[in-house]
Amino acid sequence: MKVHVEQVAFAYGREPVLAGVCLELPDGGITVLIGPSGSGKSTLLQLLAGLLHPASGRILFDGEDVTGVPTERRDVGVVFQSYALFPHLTVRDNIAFGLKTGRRRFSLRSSRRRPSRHTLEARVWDAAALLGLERLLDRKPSQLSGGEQQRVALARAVAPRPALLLLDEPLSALDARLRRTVRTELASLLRKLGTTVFYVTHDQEEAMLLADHLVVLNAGSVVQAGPPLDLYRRPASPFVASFLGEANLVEVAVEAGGDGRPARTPLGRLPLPAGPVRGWLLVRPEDVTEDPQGAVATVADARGLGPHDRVLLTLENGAEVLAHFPPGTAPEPGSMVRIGVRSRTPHFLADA
Amino acid sequence: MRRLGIAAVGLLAVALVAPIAITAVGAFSRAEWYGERSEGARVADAPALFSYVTETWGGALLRSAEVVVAVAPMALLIGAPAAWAFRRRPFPGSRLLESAALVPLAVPGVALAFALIQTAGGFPRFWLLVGGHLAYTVPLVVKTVGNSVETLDPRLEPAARSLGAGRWETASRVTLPLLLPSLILSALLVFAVSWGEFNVSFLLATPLIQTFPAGLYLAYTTNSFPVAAAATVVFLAPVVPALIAIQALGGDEFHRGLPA
Amino acid sequence: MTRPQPIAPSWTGALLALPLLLFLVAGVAWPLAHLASRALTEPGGAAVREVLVAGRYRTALVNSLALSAAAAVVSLLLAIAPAWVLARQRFRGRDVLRTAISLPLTFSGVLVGFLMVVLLGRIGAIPKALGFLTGREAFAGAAYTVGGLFIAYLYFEVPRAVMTLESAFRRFPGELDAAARTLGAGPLERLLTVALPIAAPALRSTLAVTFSASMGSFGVALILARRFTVAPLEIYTEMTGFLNDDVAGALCLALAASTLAVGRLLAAGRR
Repeated sequence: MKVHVEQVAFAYGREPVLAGVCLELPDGGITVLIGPSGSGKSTLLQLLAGLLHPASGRILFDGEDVTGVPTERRDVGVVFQSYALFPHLTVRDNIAFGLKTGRRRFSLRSSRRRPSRHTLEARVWDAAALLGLERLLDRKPSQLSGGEQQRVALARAVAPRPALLLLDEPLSALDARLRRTVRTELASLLRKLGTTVFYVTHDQEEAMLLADHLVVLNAGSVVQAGPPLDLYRRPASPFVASFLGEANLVEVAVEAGGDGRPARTPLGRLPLPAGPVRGWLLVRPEDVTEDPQGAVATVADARGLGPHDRVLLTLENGAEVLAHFPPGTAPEPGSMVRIGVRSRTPHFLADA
Repeated sequence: MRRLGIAAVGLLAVALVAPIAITAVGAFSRAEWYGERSEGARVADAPALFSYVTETWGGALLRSAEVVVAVAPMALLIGAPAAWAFRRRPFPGSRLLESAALVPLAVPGVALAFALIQTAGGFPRFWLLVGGHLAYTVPLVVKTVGNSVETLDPRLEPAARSLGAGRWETASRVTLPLLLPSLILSALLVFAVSWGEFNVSFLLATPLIQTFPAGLYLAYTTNSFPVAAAATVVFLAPVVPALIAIQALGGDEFHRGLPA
Repeated sequence: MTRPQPIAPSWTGALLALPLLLFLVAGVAWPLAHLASRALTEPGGAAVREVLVAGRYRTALVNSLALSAAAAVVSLLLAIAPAWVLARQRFRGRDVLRTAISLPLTFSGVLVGFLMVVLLGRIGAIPKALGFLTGREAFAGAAYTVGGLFIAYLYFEVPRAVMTLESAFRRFPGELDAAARTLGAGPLERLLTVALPIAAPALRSTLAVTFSASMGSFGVALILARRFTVAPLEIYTEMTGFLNDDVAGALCLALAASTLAVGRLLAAGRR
């Protein structure tokens, strides 16, 4: 299902939370919404679910305006941050819940009627099997671990085969170790389902792993949207650059740019756009290498982290640069090195 | 749907308040409107009504106040330390004792009064009365203070001890101030319950020792409507502000109200 | 949430709880036990049998039980919707309405009886209003019937039920309702399949509270129950009128025992 969000605004009382948000969720793809706390991510998810009503704007499911349609009649499944499992029902009954309700789905096109008892049991079983819950079906939520509860929440949301699946920071309640393993499983599961997914998180790694389409939200507005690697390599603003990973933003200000020809920058001679140039060059730590023809820098700190060495360098103009060196190759702190940028055309961010 | 729900609540509130409103009007209107139920004061207007009420049942008013003044501190002293102990210093049987503390609320007042007379008929009536009132107020104190202790950070007291405070000091400078709202709330609850307690009080009453609700009963059964209405207003005057204060302080445990 | 538990059972705790224990034993348990033993041993034993078999006393007990049970159930049904709205909806004037609804909690039993007479007595407000509107003073004197007593019970029980349920509903996790909505459940369905089952323990304790309130209600009965009788009234008349201690004691026992038993029963399905 294709989802369009058109100029949606929302406020809590007098405090604006979202303003002029426009989004498109590709059909069958996983869209990840990422942003700092308080940016309005969960609010946007709740608006898509129908739990909140926008102050202005429209939400369209496959072209149909569902802005006024209440949650119970929208074809959505939601996985809440707290899971919200029904404590008085077994896992089986939790999963079956959405199959037994008097759902009147908004779209007459989806001829969804109450499934027969046989179909219902089969669907519950399928959902449970998909998430490895076969042996837990008769337990109550209070008897499950955090990871198991999360899987039940997921099974419950997908059992009715909704057209849109909404996940609100589903992994944030898990401890870090569990989060890593569950993350990969979740990613493959969601791809296998093929449903349109809207996933909210503040974790950049999670976002990069899961997203087909990445949307960055800040202070209630969409800052940038697109394929994750695009946003990583060519962020539209310093905010996006630093939010999606560690970023070195090297200030550059020249009167006459190079329009392709290398110009002098604190990091050596690098190509810049034409005309007077004010802004930053984006250099990711993994792109900084030792370069005999590069700029001079002093090593301020070097630490081996295991998978790479983290080296903090100070340039001649005093600016700090963070670099990731292959493990074991970091130069000694205090020493002078010459560094450059691996790719010959780093991304330039104009000072808007 | 939402409007309907709110309207239903409003309707309920009106239905519950209407009888009182009608009665209050009666206290301030002319006696002829209502006819006379039986012999009683032939008083015609509000000030005279009220002074009649306070003169006739002044003793009962005083007695009720005396009982409240005796019951409140006792209920707090009996209930609050125990409530704190159940949560912070449990001992074998503390759970049992905690549930047992709530049982008196389910005992019908008549039965308790009768039992008290049978068992301790020789005791001064005043103290039997206090005992009966305590039966219906101590459980409220235990519950209210207990709820408050549950929400207290359990690390505060050990923290104070680690900073060098002795037991008394911790209690008076940390625990008590934190529990103060619930203690005030408990005191208000005790007041509200004790002031209106009738079942036990009526049966334990003697001509000398009568509480105001018993006086209310006499007003209702032997006097004209305006007098009864005025007595009702006098009864409610102290207790309505207490109720508002209880609501403001979040008095959950008052949902039991007092024995009817 | 981890809570630092004292490892050893505490003497301090026992000491602090001692006054409570003493009070419960001396002020409540002992008198009731004494009452029970006197009522159950001869010649009291005969009184107990008489109470349970003979017409008037049995009628009084049955009346109490039937009326209290009916009033408890009806007041619970009436209280569910208002309690839910008060607990979950935010609107202006909510605190005012809540205070108004809890007002009857402060009323003494006699006061409730009196209010019923004001409304439905022989010259009550309702008959007068009806007479004014329709020419016929219907329900005059209704206060003194079984129906009148029932309504009086409702009057002080509905506020209790609403307040008890409201505090239980307030602790109801809000996301469960949202989750049920996303799964396609309408308001009625959510109430029946999610809210009520989860609130069941609270419903049971509400029933226990209201039931015991009306079983013990004496002041109301004193004013309203003219043409029929309920247990607390019989106790009163036996005690004071006939000085029939044995029968009074037996009735007390029956009344207290049945109230406590129902309370236990309702709490039983708790885990």
